[in-house]
Amino acid sequence: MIRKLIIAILIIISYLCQTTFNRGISIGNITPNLLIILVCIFALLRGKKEGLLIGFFCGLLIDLFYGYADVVGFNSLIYMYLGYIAGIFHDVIYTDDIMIPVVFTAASDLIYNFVYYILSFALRNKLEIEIYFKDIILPEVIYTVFLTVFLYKIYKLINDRLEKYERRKEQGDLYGSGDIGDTI
Amino acid sequence: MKKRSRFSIPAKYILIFLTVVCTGLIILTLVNHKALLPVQNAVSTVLTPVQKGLNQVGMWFSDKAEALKEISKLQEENEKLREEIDSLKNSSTLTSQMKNELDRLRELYELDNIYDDYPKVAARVISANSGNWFSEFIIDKGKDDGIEVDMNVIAGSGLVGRITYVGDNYSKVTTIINDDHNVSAKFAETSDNCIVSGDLTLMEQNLIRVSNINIDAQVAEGDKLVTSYISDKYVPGILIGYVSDITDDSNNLTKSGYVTPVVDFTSIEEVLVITQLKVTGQE
Repeated sequence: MIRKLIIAILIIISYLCQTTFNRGISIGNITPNLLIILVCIFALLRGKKEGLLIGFFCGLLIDLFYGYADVVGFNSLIYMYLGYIAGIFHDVIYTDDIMIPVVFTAASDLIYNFVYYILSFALRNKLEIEIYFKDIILPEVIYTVFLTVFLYKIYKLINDRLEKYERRKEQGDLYGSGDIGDTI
Repeated sequence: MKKRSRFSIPAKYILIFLTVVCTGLIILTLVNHKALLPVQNAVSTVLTPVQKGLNQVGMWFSDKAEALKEISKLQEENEKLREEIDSLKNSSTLTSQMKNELDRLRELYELDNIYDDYPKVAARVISANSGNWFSEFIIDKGKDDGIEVDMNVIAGSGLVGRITYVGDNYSKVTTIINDDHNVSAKFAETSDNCIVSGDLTLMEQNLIRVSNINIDAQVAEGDKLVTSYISDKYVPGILIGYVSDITDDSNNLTKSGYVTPVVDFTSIEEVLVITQLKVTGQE
């Protein structure tokens, strides 16, 4: 329960930072993709299910207000699959290395922007992909990767605390001392 | 570690289920853009107050920082402005005389005052598009404040864009520099028509593309562009910007160039929504 609440708060904070405080965090008109960082890191830390669920809700939040041509669902779909794919590697990869989330976020952001470009620009016959790649995609990926390094530490700390708390609660349940956790 | 006795569904099934949900949502909103309006309104009733509050906090900080920076600059500017006031006072008496004359002539010709002030509502920008592909933002006024789709939005003295989506307490503004946005415009001096269309590749230089200018049009760099009468979304006479770099197209029938908009799109905080819709004469 408390995990869901904290993750919901993290999603909303990321969304608000990206949209409301975007002028504060953007460099040269390029805003980093905080939501994709959140999705990737938690997918790597927690696995497929949490990755895809966080991805779905992040995408839905963007879709509801900034869906391309007011269509809801595209962002949810892309974010969800990115979360799922990153989550597959949860069991395979040792996640203490900072390079892993960095590589995954970079790849995810690239894929996301590329798909978004195809859906919203290439289909309108705007085909100068080199220009868009150079001016929009690459700066965003670089900035996003830069932030991943810092946010990974914070998210990992939050996740470790949550896991510790959950373990303690589970043990409490096991020995029949009731729901001590729920009283917090 | 995870030996919970709770029944849990495998991730694969959730993925399939949510994929179906997403596809359903896409189809639903493709058919009817307003299908999810209740959900959007519900989410925005929670988020909009938070965004408003955050914005105020952010603005307070930036105001304070700005104030410290700008004191000396302001003094200098004050001096300059005083000089300007003197010269403007002079010309304003002249203009008021001309205005009187114009009024009399208008009465004579029974012309409507088309450049009259449009009724406006002020609104605050509370969030901007999360990605870098489009230039859209959300303002804190919606249907409850009488905002409707296609109402024009201005900031300062220039055109910003128009309302493209309305919720109960928020609405989405698509700006004229947005990549898929076209405005029918005309030159203020010569009344030559043209098309102003946003372009992502020009956004960084704060320019918009202008095309379809007649080859015979007598236009020069620095000419004013305003919204035209034939536009079906924009009320006429709103300043868009100033033209530059006009070149002949290869077809030898039209010219095209760039417009520098009067609005600085990177720092819009407050906007005015013109609550009068363009009357197009067709239902």
